[in-house]
Amino acid sequence: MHTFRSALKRILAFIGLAPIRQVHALSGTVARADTKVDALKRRLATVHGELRTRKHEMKQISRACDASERETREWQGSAERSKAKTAEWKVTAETWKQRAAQYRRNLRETKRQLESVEQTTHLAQEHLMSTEVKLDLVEAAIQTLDDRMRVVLSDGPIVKTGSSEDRPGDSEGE
Amino acid sequence: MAERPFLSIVVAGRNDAYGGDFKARYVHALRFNHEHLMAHNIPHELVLVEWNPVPNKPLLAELLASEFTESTMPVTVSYVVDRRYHDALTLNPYLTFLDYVAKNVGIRRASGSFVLATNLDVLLGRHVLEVLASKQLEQRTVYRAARVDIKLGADTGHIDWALVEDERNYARRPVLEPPLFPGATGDFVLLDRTSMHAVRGFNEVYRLARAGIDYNFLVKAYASGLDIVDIGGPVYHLNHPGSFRLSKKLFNDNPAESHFGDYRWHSRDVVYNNRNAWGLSDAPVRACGQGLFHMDFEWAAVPPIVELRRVVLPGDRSGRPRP
Repeated sequence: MHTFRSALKRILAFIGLAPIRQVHALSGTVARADTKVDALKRRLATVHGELRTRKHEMKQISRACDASERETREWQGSAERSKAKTAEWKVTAETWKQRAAQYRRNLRETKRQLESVEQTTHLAQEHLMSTEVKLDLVEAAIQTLDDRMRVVLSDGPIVKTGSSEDRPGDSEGE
Repeated sequence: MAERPFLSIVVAGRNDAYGGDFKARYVHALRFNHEHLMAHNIPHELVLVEWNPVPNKPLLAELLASEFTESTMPVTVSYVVDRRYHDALTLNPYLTFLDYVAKNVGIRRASGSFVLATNLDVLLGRHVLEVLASKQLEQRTVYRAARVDIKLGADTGHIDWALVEDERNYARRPVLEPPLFPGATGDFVLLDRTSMHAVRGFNEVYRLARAGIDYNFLVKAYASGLDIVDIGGPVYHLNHPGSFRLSKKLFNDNPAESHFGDYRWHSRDVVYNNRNAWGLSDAPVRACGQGLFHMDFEWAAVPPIVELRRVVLPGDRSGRPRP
Protein backbone atom coordinates (compact mmCIF):
# COMPACT_ATOMS: atom_id res chain seq x y z
CA MET A 1 0.00 0.00 0.00
CA HIS A 2 2.72 2.23 0.90
CA THR A 3 4.65 1.34 -2.13
CA PHE A 4 1.66 2.06 -4.29
CA ARG A 5 1.21 5.44 -2.80
CA SER A 6 4.79 6.28 -3.34
CA ALA A 7 4.63 5.12 -6.88
CA LEU A 8 1.53 7.17 -7.45
CA LYS A 9 3.12 10.19 -6.04
CA ARG A 10 6.04 9.72 -8.34
CA ILE A 11 3.78 9.32 -11.31
CA LEU A 12 1.74 12.41 -10.42
CA ALA A 13 4.88 14.26 -9.71
CA PHE A 14 6.11 13.23 -13.12
CA ILE A 15 3.22 14.88 -14.77
CA GLY A 16 3.47 17.90 -12.57
CA LEU A 17 0.89 17.17 -9.95
CA ALA A 18 1.42 17.14 -6.26
CA PRO A 19 -0.72 16.40 -3.30
CA ILE A 20 -2.72 19.32 -2.02
CA ARG A 21 -1.05 19.11 1.29
CA GLN A 22 2.30 19.52 -0.28
CA VAL A 23 0.98 22.30 -2.41
CA HIS A 24 -0.31 24.04 0.68
CA ALA A 25 2.94 23.48 2.44
CA LEU A 26 4.90 24.82 -0.48
CA SER A 27 2.52 27.74 -0.83
CA GLY A 28 3.13 28.56 2.82
CA THR A 29 6.85 28.27 2.24
CA VAL A 30 6.61 30.54 -0.83
CA ALA A 31 4.57 33.06 1.16
CA ARG A 32 7.11 33.08 3.97
CA ALA A 33 9.86 33.37 1.40
CA ASP A 34 8.07 36.31 -0.16
CA THR A 35 7.71 37.90 3.23
CA LYS A 36 11.39 37.33 3.86
CA VAL A 37 12.21 38.71 0.44
CA ASP A 38 10.14 41.77 1.20
CA ALA A 39 11.84 42.14 4.53
CA LEU A 40 15.18 41.67 2.90
CA LYS A 41 14.26 44.18 0.22
CA ARG A 42 13.30 46.66 2.89
CA ARG A 43 16.42 45.96 4.73
CA LEU A 44 18.41 46.28 1.56
CA ALA A 45 16.77 49.61 0.94
CA THR A 46 17.62 50.64 4.47
CA VAL A 47 21.18 49.43 4.04
CA HIS A 48 21.35 51.29 0.76
CA GLY A 49 20.14 54.39 2.55
CA GLU A 50 22.61 53.90 5.29
CA LEU A 51 25.28 53.21 2.76
CA ARG A 52 24.51 56.47 1.05
CA THR A 53 24.54 58.23 4.39
CA ARG A 54 27.83 56.56 5.28
CA LYS A 55 29.17 57.39 1.85
CA HIS A 56 28.17 60.98 2.44
CA GLU A 57 29.66 60.94 5.87
CA MET A 58 32.71 59.26 4.47
CA LYS A 59 33.02 62.03 1.92
CA GLN A 60 32.66 64.62 4.66
CA ILE A 61 35.18 62.82 6.83
CA SER A 62 37.45 62.50 3.88
CA ARG A 63 37.14 66.21 3.24
CA ALA A 64 37.70 66.91 6.89
CA CYS A 65 40.70 64.60 6.81
CA ASP A 66 42.01 66.41 3.80
CA ALA A 67 41.47 69.74 5.59
CA SER A 68 43.12 68.38 8.72
CA GLU A 69 45.99 67.06 6.68
CA ARG A 70 46.36 70.42 5.04
CA GLU A 71 46.14 72.08 8.41
CA THR A 72 48.60 69.60 9.88
CA ARG A 73 50.94 70.26 7.03
CA GLU A 74 50.52 73.97 7.61
CA TRP A 75 51.11 73.58 11.32
CA GLN A 76 54.05 71.36 10.64
CA GLY A 77 55.42 74.04 8.36
CA SER A 78 54.67 76.62 10.95
CA ALA A 79 56.26 74.46 13.66
CA GLU A 80 59.32 74.01 11.54
CA ARG A 81 59.47 77.71 10.89
CA SER A 82 59.00 78.33 14.61
CA LYS A 83 61.67 75.77 15.34
CA ALA A 84 63.98 77.57 13.01
CA LYS A 85 63.00 80.89 14.57
CA THR A 86 63.46 79.45 18.05
CA ALA A 87 66.95 78.45 17.13
CA GLU A 88 67.54 81.94 15.80
CA TRP A 89 66.10 83.46 18.96
CA LYS A 90 68.22 81.14 21.02
CA VAL A 91 71.27 82.43 19.23
CA THR A 92 70.02 86.00 19.65
CA ALA A 93 69.25 85.38 23.32
CA GLU A 94 72.69 83.92 23.83
CA THR A 95 74.20 86.95 22.11
CA TRP A 96 72.21 89.29 24.35
CA LYS A 97 73.14 87.23 27.38
CA GLN A 98 76.78 87.56 26.47
CA ARG A 99 76.32 91.27 25.83
CA ALA A 100 74.53 91.66 29.18
CA ALA A 101 77.37 89.82 30.91
CA GLN A 102 79.82 92.09 29.13
CA TYR A 103 77.82 95.14 30.14
CA ARG A 104 77.75 93.88 33.72
CA ARG A 105 81.51 93.41 33.62
CA ASN A 106 81.90 96.86 32.09
CA LEU A 107 79.56 98.30 34.70
CA ARG A 108 81.53 96.67 37.52
CA GLU A 109 84.74 97.94 36.04
CA THR A 110 83.29 101.43 35.56
CA LYS A 111 81.98 101.35 39.11
CA ARG A 112 85.39 100.26 40.37
CA GLN A 113 87.05 103.00 38.35
CA LEU A 114 84.49 105.48 39.64
CA GLU A 115 85.19 104.44 43.21
CA SER A 116 88.89 104.68 42.55
CA VAL A 117 88.44 108.13 41.02
CA GLU A 118 86.21 109.15 43.90
CA GLN A 119 88.81 107.93 46.36
CA THR A 120 91.57 109.71 44.50
CA THR A 121 89.48 112.86 44.30
CA HIS A 122 88.76 112.70 48.00
CA LEU A 123 92.41 112.10 48.76
CA ALA A 124 93.38 114.97 46.47
CA GLN A 125 90.82 117.13 48.20
CA GLU A 126 92.24 116.16 51.58
CA HIS A 127 95.75 116.92 50.37
CA LEU A 128 94.53 120.22 49.04
CA MET A 129 92.97 121.07 52.39
CA SER A 130 96.11 119.94 54.15
CA THR A 131 98.14 122.18 51.86
CA GLU A 132 95.78 125.07 52.57
CA VAL A 133 96.21 124.53 56.30
CA LYS A 134 99.98 124.41 55.86
CA LEU A 135 99.94 127.56 53.78
CA ASP A 136 97.85 129.27 56.45
CA LEU A 137 100.43 128.20 59.01
CA VAL A 138 103.35 129.36 56.90
CA GLU A 139 101.70 132.68 56.21
CA ALA A 140 100.85 133.14 59.88
CA ALA A 141 104.37 132.17 60.90
CA ILE A 142 105.87 134.63 58.45
CA GLN A 143 103.51 137.32 59.69
CA THR A 144 104.43 136.54 63.29
CA LEU A 145 108.13 136.59 62.55
CA ASP A 146 107.71 139.81 60.61
CA ASP A 147 105.88 141.39 63.55
CA ARG A 148 108.61 140.27 65.92
CA MET A 149 111.35 141.50 63.61
CA ARG A 150 109.74 144.91 63.40
CA VAL A 151 109.67 145.10 67.20
CA VAL A 152 113.27 143.95 67.58
CA LEU A 153 114.64 145.92 64.66
CA SER A 154 112.68 149.10 65.16
CA ASP A 155 115.28 151.05 63.23
CA GLY A 156 114.87 148.94 60.12
CA PRO A 157 116.25 145.70 58.78
CA ILE A 158 119.88 144.65 58.91
CA VAL A 159 121.18 144.18 55.39
CA LYS A 160 124.23 141.94 55.30
CA THR A 161 126.72 142.99 52.65
CA GLY A 162 129.85 141.45 54.11
CA SER A 163 130.51 144.02 56.82
CA SER A 164 128.60 144.94 59.92
CA GLU A 165 128.68 148.59 59.03
CA ASP A 166 125.53 148.62 56.95
CA ARG A 167 123.03 148.48 59.73
CA PRO A 168 120.91 151.60 59.52
CA GLY A 169 121.94 154.00 62.18
CA ASP A 170 125.34 152.37 62.49
CA SER A 171 128.18 154.37 61.05
CA GLU A 172 131.83 154.79 61.72
CA GLY A 173 132.59 157.22 64.40
CA GLU A 174 129.24 156.81 66.12
CA MET B 1 101.81 109.91 98.05
CA ALA B 2 98.31 111.13 97.29
CA GLU B 3 95.89 108.60 95.84
CA ARG B 4 95.20 109.08 92.15
CA PRO B 5 91.72 110.65 91.78
CA PHE B 6 89.17 108.99 89.54
CA LEU B 7 88.56 112.18 87.64
CA SER B 8 90.65 115.18 86.66
CA ILE B 9 88.61 118.14 85.53
CA VAL B 10 90.80 120.26 83.30
CA VAL B 11 89.78 123.86 82.74
CA ALA B 12 91.61 126.88 81.43
CA GLY B 13 90.98 130.55 81.78
CA ARG B 14 92.27 134.01 82.53
CA ASN B 15 90.90 136.85 84.57
CA ASP B 16 89.82 138.92 81.58
CA ALA B 17 86.14 139.39 82.41
CA TYR B 18 85.28 137.13 79.49
CA GLY B 19 81.55 137.09 78.90
CA GLY B 20 80.72 139.63 81.57
CA ASP B 21 80.59 138.43 85.15
CA PHE B 22 83.06 135.67 84.56
CA LYS B 23 84.09 135.34 88.17
CA ALA B 24 80.54 134.80 89.36
CA ARG B 25 79.81 132.30 86.59
CA TYR B 26 82.90 130.24 87.16
CA VAL B 27 82.68 130.30 90.95
CA HIS B 28 79.02 129.23 90.77
CA ALA B 29 79.82 126.49 88.31
CA LEU B 30 82.81 125.19 90.26
CA ARG B 31 80.83 125.16 93.47
CA PHE B 32 77.88 123.41 91.86
CA ASN B 33 80.06 120.77 90.24
CA HIS B 34 82.21 120.19 93.30
CA GLU B 35 79.22 119.81 95.61
CA HIS B 36 77.52 117.29 93.36
CA LEU B 37 80.71 115.37 92.64
CA MET B 38 81.22 115.09 96.41
CA ALA B 39 77.59 114.07 96.93
CA HIS B 40 78.08 111.33 94.35
CA ASN B 41 81.30 110.25 96.01
CA ILE B 42 83.42 110.85 92.91
CA PRO B 43 87.08 111.45 93.82
CA HIS B 44 88.21 114.33 91.65
CA GLU B 45 90.74 117.08 91.22
CA LEU B 46 90.41 120.37 89.45
CA VAL B 47 93.31 121.21 87.18
CA LEU B 48 93.11 124.93 86.50
CA VAL B 49 95.39 126.38 83.87
CA GLU B 50 95.75 130.12 83.86
CA TRP B 51 96.86 131.05 80.36
CA ASN B 52 98.25 134.40 79.37
CA PRO B 53 97.45 135.89 82.78
CA VAL B 54 96.21 139.44 82.70
CA PRO B 55 98.84 141.81 84.18
CA ASN B 56 97.87 143.59 87.40
CA LYS B 57 94.80 141.41 87.88
CA PRO B 58 94.39 138.71 90.50
CA LEU B 59 94.97 135.18 89.32
CA LEU B 60 91.95 132.92 88.97
CA ALA B 61 93.56 130.61 91.51
CA GLU B 62 93.68 133.48 93.98
CA LEU B 63 90.06 134.38 93.32
CA LEU B 64 89.13 130.76 93.81
CA ALA B 65 90.91 130.59 97.14
CA SER B 66 89.06 133.71 98.28
CA GLU B 67 85.67 132.28 97.33
CA PHE B 68 85.95 128.90 99.02
CA THR B 69 86.74 127.95 102.56
CA GLU B 70 89.37 125.31 103.11
CA SER B 71 86.70 122.68 103.77
CA THR B 72 84.63 123.47 100.71
CA MET B 73 87.53 124.04 98.34
CA PRO B 74 87.90 121.37 95.69
CA VAL B 75 91.29 119.71 95.39
CA THR B 76 92.85 122.08 92.92
CA VAL B 77 96.11 122.13 91.05
CA SER B 78 96.65 125.46 89.34
CA TYR B 79 99.23 126.13 86.69
CA VAL B 80 99.97 129.74 85.90
CA VAL B 81 101.60 129.78 82.50
CA ASP B 82 104.01 132.63 81.87
CA ARG B 83 102.36 134.94 79.39
CA ARG B 84 105.41 134.81 77.16
CA TYR B 85 104.38 131.30 76.17
CA HIS B 86 101.24 132.73 74.64
CA ASP B 87 103.24 135.41 72.84
CA ALA B 88 105.68 132.80 71.58
CA LEU B 89 103.02 130.32 70.51
CA THR B 90 100.24 132.34 69.01
CA LEU B 91 100.10 132.68 65.26
CA ASN B 92 97.18 135.05 65.31
CA PRO B 93 97.43 138.49 66.90
CA TYR B 94 93.65 138.53 67.45
CA LEU B 95 93.84 135.64 69.89
CA THR B 96 94.54 136.39 73.50
CA PHE B 97 93.74 132.93 74.70
CA LEU B 98 94.80 129.58 73.30
CA ASP B 99 92.23 127.44 75.13
CA TYR B 100 93.37 124.13 73.86
CA VAL B 101 97.09 124.59 74.26
CA ALA B 102 96.22 125.68 77.78
CA LYS B 103 94.04 122.63 78.31
CA ASN B 104 96.86 120.44 77.04
CA VAL B 105 99.04 121.88 79.80
CA GLY B 106 96.49 120.63 82.31
CA ILE B 107 95.78 117.34 80.55
CA ARG B 108 99.49 116.54 80.39
CA ARG B 109 99.79 117.02 84.14
CA ALA B 110 96.41 115.63 85.25
CA SER B 111 96.66 112.61 87.50
CA GLY B 112 93.12 111.25 87.34
CA SER B 113 92.29 107.93 85.73
CA PHE B 114 89.88 109.83 83.52
CA VAL B 115 90.33 113.35 82.23
CA LEU B 116 87.44 115.68 81.56
CA ALA B 117 88.38 118.68 79.44
CA THR B 118 85.68 121.25 79.96
CA ASN B 119 85.16 124.93 80.60
CA LEU B 120 84.88 126.92 83.77
CA ASP B 121 81.24 127.84 83.26
CA VAL B 122 79.92 124.38 82.47
CA LEU B 123 77.65 122.58 84.92
CA LEU B 124 77.62 118.80 85.02
CA GLY B 125 74.19 117.28 84.53
CA ARG B 126 72.54 114.75 86.77
CA HIS B 127 72.98 111.85 84.37
CA VAL B 128 76.63 112.73 83.77
CA LEU B 129 77.22 112.62 87.52
CA GLU B 130 75.47 109.27 87.77
CA VAL B 131 77.61 107.79 85.00
CA LEU B 132 80.76 109.11 86.64
CA ALA B 133 79.64 107.76 90.00
CA SER B 134 79.09 104.31 88.50
CA LYS B 135 82.78 104.30 87.50
CA GLN B 136 81.79 102.10 84.58
CA LEU B 137 83.52 104.22 81.97
CA GLU B 138 85.21 102.39 79.11
CA GLN B 139 88.82 102.86 78.13
CA ARG B 140 89.58 104.20 74.63
CA THR B 141 86.17 105.86 74.51
CA VAL B 142 85.58 109.57 74.14
CA TYR B 143 82.46 110.51 76.06
CA ARG B 144 80.55 113.51 74.81
CA ALA B 145 77.66 115.38 76.36
CA ALA B 146 75.24 117.73 74.67
CA ARG B 147 75.43 121.27 75.95
CA VAL B 148 72.19 122.90 76.97
CA ASP B 149 72.48 126.68 77.02
CA ILE B 150 70.71 128.48 79.83
CA LYS B 151 69.15 131.66 78.47
CA LEU B 152 70.73 135.01 78.96
CA GLY B 153 68.75 136.75 81.65
CA ALA B 154 67.83 133.62 83.56
CA ASP B 155 68.25 134.09 87.28
CA THR B 156 71.66 132.53 87.84
CA GLY B 157 72.18 134.11 91.26
CA HIS B 158 71.63 130.72 92.75
CA ILE B 159 72.30 127.68 90.64
CA ASP B 160 70.46 124.49 91.47
CA TRP B 161 68.71 121.62 89.70
CA ALA B 162 65.47 123.60 89.55
CA LEU B 163 67.19 126.25 87.45
CA VAL B 164 69.16 124.01 85.12
CA GLU B 165 66.45 121.41 84.62
CA ASP B 166 63.67 123.88 83.90
CA GLU B 167 63.25 123.70 80.13
CA ARG B 168 61.79 127.19 80.09
CA ASN B 169 65.30 128.44 80.80
CA TYR B 170 66.81 126.72 77.78
CA ALA B 171 68.08 128.74 74.85
CA ARG B 172 68.94 125.60 72.90
CA ARG B 173 68.89 121.92 73.48
CA PRO B 174 71.01 120.13 70.88
CA VAL B 175 71.14 116.46 70.00
CA LEU B 176 74.53 114.94 69.29
CA GLU B 177 74.85 112.96 66.08
CA PRO B 178 77.14 110.01 65.44
CA PRO B 179 79.76 109.15 64.54
CA LEU B 180 81.63 112.12 66.03
CA PHE B 181 78.92 113.53 68.30
CA PRO B 182 80.17 117.09 67.81
CA GLY B 183 78.62 120.28 69.13
CA ALA B 184 80.21 122.51 71.76
CA THR B 185 82.80 119.78 72.07
CA GLY B 186 85.18 121.91 74.10
CA ASP B 187 82.66 121.87 76.92
CA PHE B 188 82.78 118.14 77.45
CA VAL B 189 85.47 115.74 76.34
CA LEU B 190 85.91 112.85 78.73
CA LEU B 191 88.53 110.20 78.04
CA ASP B 192 90.78 107.91 80.00
CA ARG B 193 94.13 109.47 80.74
CA THR B 194 96.14 106.86 78.83
CA SER B 195 94.18 107.39 75.63
CA MET B 196 94.29 111.14 76.08
CA HIS B 197 98.07 110.86 76.21
CA ALA B 198 98.10 108.49 73.25
CA VAL B 199 96.39 111.08 71.03
CA ARG B 200 98.49 113.81 72.66
CA GLY B 201 95.61 116.06 73.59
CA PHE B 202 94.18 118.80 71.44
CA ASN B 203 95.77 120.22 68.30
CA GLU B 204 98.59 122.54 69.24
CA VAL B 205 100.10 122.70 65.76
CA TYR B 206 97.38 124.91 64.30
CA ARG B 207 97.56 127.94 66.54
CA LEU B 208 95.67 130.38 64.34
CA ALA B 209 92.26 129.73 65.78
CA ARG B 210 90.44 128.60 68.87
CA ALA B 211 87.28 127.68 67.00
CA GLY B 212 87.21 124.19 65.54
CA ILE B 213 90.09 122.81 67.61
CA ASP B 214 87.62 120.83 69.71
CA TYR B 215 85.94 119.34 66.62
CA ASN B 216 89.38 118.60 65.25
CA PHE B 217 90.09 116.54 68.37
CA LEU B 218 87.10 114.33 67.59
CA VAL B 219 88.33 113.80 64.03
CA LYS B 220 91.75 112.87 65.40
CA ALA B 221 90.27 110.54 68.04
CA TYR B 222 88.03 108.84 65.47
CA ALA B 223 90.93 108.43 63.06
CA SER B 224 92.99 106.98 65.90
CA GLY B 225 90.43 104.24 66.43
CA LEU B 226 88.89 105.57 69.62
CA ASP B 227 85.16 105.13 70.09
CA ILE B 228 83.06 108.23 70.54
CA VAL B 229 79.78 108.03 72.40
CA ASP B 230 77.16 110.31 73.85
CA ILE B 231 77.24 109.89 77.61
CA GLY B 232 73.46 110.10 77.56
CA GLY B 233 72.70 113.30 79.44
CA PRO B 234 73.49 116.98 79.04
CA VAL B 235 75.77 119.48 80.65
CA TYR B 236 74.58 123.03 81.12
CA HIS B 237 76.16 126.27 80.08
CA LEU B 238 75.20 129.68 81.33
CA ASN B 239 74.87 131.81 78.22
CA HIS B 240 76.86 135.01 78.28
CA PRO B 241 77.68 137.83 75.89
CA GLY B 242 80.73 137.18 73.74
CA SER B 243 80.38 133.39 73.57
CA PHE B 244 81.41 131.85 70.26
CA ARG B 245 77.88 130.79 69.44
CA LEU B 246 76.42 134.22 70.11
CA SER B 247 79.21 136.36 68.65
CA LYS B 248 80.07 134.30 65.57
CA LYS B 249 77.79 136.37 63.35
CA LEU B 250 79.48 139.60 64.36
CA PHE B 251 82.52 138.48 62.39
CA ASN B 252 80.75 137.13 59.34
CA ASP B 253 82.42 139.71 57.14
CA ASN B 254 85.88 139.01 58.40
CA PRO B 255 86.05 135.84 60.49
CA ALA B 256 89.85 136.01 60.57
CA GLU B 257 89.60 139.01 62.88
CA SER B 258 87.43 137.21 65.40
CA HIS B 259 88.92 136.60 68.82
CA PHE B 260 88.13 132.94 68.15
CA GLY B 261 90.14 132.96 64.93
CA ASP B 262 88.75 131.94 61.58
CA TYR B 263 86.34 129.10 62.25
CA ARG B 264 86.33 128.17 58.55
CA TRP B 265 89.65 126.36 58.64
CA HIS B 266 89.65 122.68 57.66
CA SER B 267 89.17 121.34 61.17
CA ARG B 268 87.01 118.49 59.91
CA ASP B 269 89.44 117.13 57.38
CA VAL B 270 92.99 117.67 58.51
CA VAL B 271 94.43 116.48 61.80
CA TYR B 272 97.64 116.84 63.73
CA ASN B 273 100.44 114.96 65.29
CA ASN B 274 101.56 116.88 68.34
CA ARG B 275 105.21 116.64 69.24
CA ASN B 276 106.37 114.48 72.16
CA ALA B 277 106.67 117.53 74.37
CA TRP B 278 102.99 118.47 73.92
CA GLY B 279 101.34 120.37 76.71
CA LEU B 280 104.53 122.37 77.29
CA SER B 281 105.93 119.38 79.10
CA ASP B 282 109.46 120.78 78.93
CA ALA B 283 108.49 124.03 80.60
CA PRO B 284 110.05 124.44 84.05
CA VAL B 285 107.42 124.29 86.79
CA ARG B 286 107.91 126.09 90.07
CA ALA B 287 105.75 125.44 93.14
CA CYS B 288 104.43 128.70 94.61
CA GLY B 289 102.13 127.43 97.31
CA GLN B 290 99.58 124.75 98.05
CA GLY B 291 98.54 123.40 94.64
CA LEU B 292 99.79 126.48 92.82
CA PHE B 293 102.53 126.20 90.21
CA HIS B 294 104.13 128.72 87.91
CA MET B 295 105.43 127.66 84.56
CA ASP B 296 108.45 129.80 83.87
CA PHE B 297 109.37 130.78 80.37
CA GLU B 298 112.13 129.00 78.53
CA TRP B 299 112.59 129.06 74.81
CA ALA B 300 113.60 125.41 74.94
CA ALA B 301 110.06 124.51 75.97
CA VAL B 302 108.52 126.39 73.04
CA PRO B 303 107.86 124.35 69.92
CA PRO B 304 109.05 125.64 66.56
CA ILE B 305 106.88 128.41 65.19
CA VAL B 306 105.59 126.08 62.52
CA GLU B 307 105.97 122.33 61.91
CA LEU B 308 104.29 121.44 58.65
CA ARG B 309 105.03 117.73 58.91
CA ARG B 310 102.78 117.64 61.95
CA VAL B 311 99.78 118.59 59.82
CA VAL B 312 98.50 115.22 58.64
CA LEU B 313 95.52 113.59 57.02
CA PRO B 314 93.19 111.47 59.11
CA GLY B 315 94.09 108.44 56.99
CA ASP B 316 91.80 105.45 56.77
CA ARG B 317 90.13 106.22 60.09
CA SER B 318 91.02 102.73 61.28
CA GLY B 319 88.87 101.16 58.59
CA ARG B 320 85.73 102.99 59.67
CA PRO B 321 83.60 105.03 57.30
CA ARG B 322 84.33 108.68 56.86
CA PRO B 323 82.26 110.79 59.19
